[in-house]
Amino acid sequence: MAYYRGYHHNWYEHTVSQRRQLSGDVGGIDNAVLSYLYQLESQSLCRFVQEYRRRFGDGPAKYAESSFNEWKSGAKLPAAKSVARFLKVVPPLLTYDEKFELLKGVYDRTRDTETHSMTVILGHSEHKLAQLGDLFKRLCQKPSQHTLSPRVQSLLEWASDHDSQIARRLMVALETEQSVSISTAAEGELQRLVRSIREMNQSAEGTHQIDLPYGTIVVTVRHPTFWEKLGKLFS
Amino acid sequence: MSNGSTELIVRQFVEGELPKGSLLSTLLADLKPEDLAKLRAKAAEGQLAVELEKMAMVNRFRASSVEIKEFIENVKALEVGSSKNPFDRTIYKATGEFSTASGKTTIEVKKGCYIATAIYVDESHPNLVTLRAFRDNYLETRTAGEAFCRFYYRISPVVAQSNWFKIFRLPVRIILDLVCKMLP
Repeated sequence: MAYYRGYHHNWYEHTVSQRRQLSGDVGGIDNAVLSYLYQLESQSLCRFVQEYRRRFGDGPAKYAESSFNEWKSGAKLPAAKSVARFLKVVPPLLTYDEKFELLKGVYDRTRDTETHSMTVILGHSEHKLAQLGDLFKRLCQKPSQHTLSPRVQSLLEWASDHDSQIARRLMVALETEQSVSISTAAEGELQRLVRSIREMNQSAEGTHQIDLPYGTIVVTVRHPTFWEKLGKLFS
Repeated sequence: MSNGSTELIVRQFVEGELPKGSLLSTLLADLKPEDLAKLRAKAAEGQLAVELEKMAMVNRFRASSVEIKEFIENVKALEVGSSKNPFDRTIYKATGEFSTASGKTTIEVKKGCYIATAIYVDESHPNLVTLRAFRDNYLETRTAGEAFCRFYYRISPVVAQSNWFKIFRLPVRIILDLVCKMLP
């Protein structure tokens, strides 16, 4: 009995950890897919069962049918293997807009974001601000370079279909436009920060954090220290 | 449209070769009518969200400009004080955090007994109170003392911020403790 309890406990933990890993891989959209599945109308549910049977065979389909109500009520936790199958079968049954939102969720949460920081010393390294232009350009181009990893692509086959490709193009266009707007505003705001710090006393220090969709840039602007001033005199 | 040509259009847009606002239409220009029909609602929704965000950004830029200006004026007022005496309100630390169009700006400015504060850390340390009283009641009432204060406030920020200051922290603290014991 003790062995059984221990086994059961480990099985539950194992299932939870596998689910967590899967969820992390697909940017957490598994929960949205499950809720879509539980809300499917009877007609769509029949199509789901047919497709499930066609792709994974009779055994898994029977298991899914018998467990469906327990999964839906929360009495039973679907295993990662079952959820991985739902991720393949459910989205193609959804409307274009629902699929769009799922895809957006995956791309939003699998972004490879960057963090950069820079210190600008007034009268010493103000030229660094000009270098930011290249960084802005690169971060504005990142949406078009963002692709899903092979692992995610294998889990979400529908994410490579034609509909998903054109949806992604819209996302890229919107994310780029957003990045460009933020970059343009940031350039003005950094100039404003430099002017503000210059107007204030020696101890004034300003930090500006720029939040772009694909990265964060932190720029610190300060006056030179005594030794930096001295160093410049001798350089 | 291939990924490469998308990148080219984005680059042209970023480099200013394409007029602003045309990115979406340019990127979606070669889509088939049936694809465009599918995307229409989402594209309109997304474009509207971007336009609204741009308007909100303009407002945040303006509002933060006003807030930063006010902050600088307040700090200047603190620095000068209501009287002509520049040492009237010499101890302050002001921090302003402003939500801006592209993120957030934080400005921090402080003025005080830099060396002594750096040594005692706590602004309300009894020795700091003694030193301030000495400055206000003795030094600033004398021409030479006032000149010393002026010199001290000029050099103390750079001294307190320098790396080598950490090495002399303990000896300076011992000296200041002795000075404070001798002061009335």
